[in-house]
Amino acid sequence: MTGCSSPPLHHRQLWRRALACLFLCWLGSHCYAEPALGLPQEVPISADFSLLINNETLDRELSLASLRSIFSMRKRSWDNNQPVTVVVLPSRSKTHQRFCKKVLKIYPFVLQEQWDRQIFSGGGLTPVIAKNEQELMEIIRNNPGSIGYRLRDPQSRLKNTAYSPAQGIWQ
Amino acid sequence: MMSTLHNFNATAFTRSAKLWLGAVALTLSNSPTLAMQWQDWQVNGFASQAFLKSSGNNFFGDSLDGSWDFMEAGISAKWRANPRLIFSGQLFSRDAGSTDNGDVNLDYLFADYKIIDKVDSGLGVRLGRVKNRYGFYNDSRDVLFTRPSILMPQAIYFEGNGLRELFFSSDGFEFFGHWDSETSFTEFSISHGIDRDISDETLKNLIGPTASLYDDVQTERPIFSRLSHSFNGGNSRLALSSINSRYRIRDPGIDTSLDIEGYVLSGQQHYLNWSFTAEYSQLDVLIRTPLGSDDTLYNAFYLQTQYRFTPQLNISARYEQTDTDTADADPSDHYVLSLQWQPSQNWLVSADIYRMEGAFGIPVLDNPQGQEDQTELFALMLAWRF
Repeated sequence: MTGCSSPPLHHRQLWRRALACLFLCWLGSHCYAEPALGLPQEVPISADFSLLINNETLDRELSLASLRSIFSMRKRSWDNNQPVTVVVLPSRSKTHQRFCKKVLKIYPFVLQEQWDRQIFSGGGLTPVIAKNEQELMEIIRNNPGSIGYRLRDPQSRLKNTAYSPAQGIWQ
Repeated sequence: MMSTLHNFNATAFTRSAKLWLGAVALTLSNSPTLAMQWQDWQVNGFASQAFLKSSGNNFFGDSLDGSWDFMEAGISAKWRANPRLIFSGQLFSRDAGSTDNGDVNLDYLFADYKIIDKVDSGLGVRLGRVKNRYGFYNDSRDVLFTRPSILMPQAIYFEGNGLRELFFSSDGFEFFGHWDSETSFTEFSISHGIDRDISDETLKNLIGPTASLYDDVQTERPIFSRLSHSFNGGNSRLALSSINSRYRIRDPGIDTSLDIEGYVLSGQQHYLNWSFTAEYSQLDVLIRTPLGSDDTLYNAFYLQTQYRFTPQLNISARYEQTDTDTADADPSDHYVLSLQWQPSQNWLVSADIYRMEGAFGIPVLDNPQGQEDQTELFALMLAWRF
């Protein structure tokens, strides 16, 4: 009986270990996020808005075409192969609507239509919706590869935050 | 011996349990990780229920007396396995009078790999049960949030004929690509399927109650393609789609086939409060039976305008016409008025009025007593999504 039962048991144990190792590796690949210094960057993009970007290989000259490709969820990865995660405010918020019109130059309902088509036709992932600016900032800070926006308010914000124009980084 | 085995088991179990618990603890201790995992997964769903009341003909159930027999529900999941590879699938159920029976189906399931993913262009391939891109609305036709009215425009999408299955998906592959420029973006998609069995339900819609006599009915090598070009940030959109497919009954002695070949031209223009949409299709339908063949050309179009009172409330008006080159058939005209109210991001209520002149697109099986020439239909639908 021993002779018959032991090998399968041994195999089972091996399988369990192998599975656990695989699971750990999978977790590890998700957990290990290089805590890059100075990220996210805040890059002024218009008189009203700056982009928040948690990616060190940022192309500083993000063109309107690239921005539309990113915010319409057509582009999936950055140059360093990090996945692009778009973070936005709720589509009914004034800030989001202003960002669509002033920066992307797209009507908010047209962008929403593009996302809805993505969601329900099975294409790429859709944006993460943050409840407010604080949450948006938090999500971007914690997720390499993420990109979002925030309203620039030079009067109140620049006073309280150290901004280094040379590096384009908010400290 | 048994106790040794038990001990051995227990030790192994404890060891792997520790590993698993450790892994979970590691996950929980690292809050950004949770967010990442969540962002690599996306689950969405939708459900809608309609009430229909008509005069003239039944449309989806016994609507002459009032019908609740129109429902759609789906749950979809996407997993980003790596930045370029996404797995995507959906379970779906649709009940639409006698044209659809509410069974839960695997609507689509595919691996989606982006071969080229540049900042302003990309090329990819999808493999599995893929969606067919056809016209503006075919690939998202089941969700009230992504279509212009409760019923899809009959003229292009054959809503009342119960042929959704033939148009919606193919078992095969899809190539897709996109280019962005400062002022426009262009997308293309081409899907090609292998032969696939047609459900009894769809065959019944196609040829009537005699469908049960046939066993071996297939879609053969369907090809769908769409090229679309948007400019002004998506405010203007043009598309050209094509279909090329054969449906065939292969039972011994009854080699009958139906060939559909054709194209759709689509155009859309958005303004702040107004949107205008038009689609035109020309389909050549060739039926070959052992007794002879019959070739019919369908010309169909619709014109639609939408006005947004507020982002939450809009009204649409649409005129549709379907005409054939058959000498004795009059064109079929549909007039549609649709009011949509979206009290929140997740809820949508639509109230529509339809006037349908001609029998084209009236579900045959909902009207076994024969079809009247004119139908008026009031439809109310509540839709939810997450």
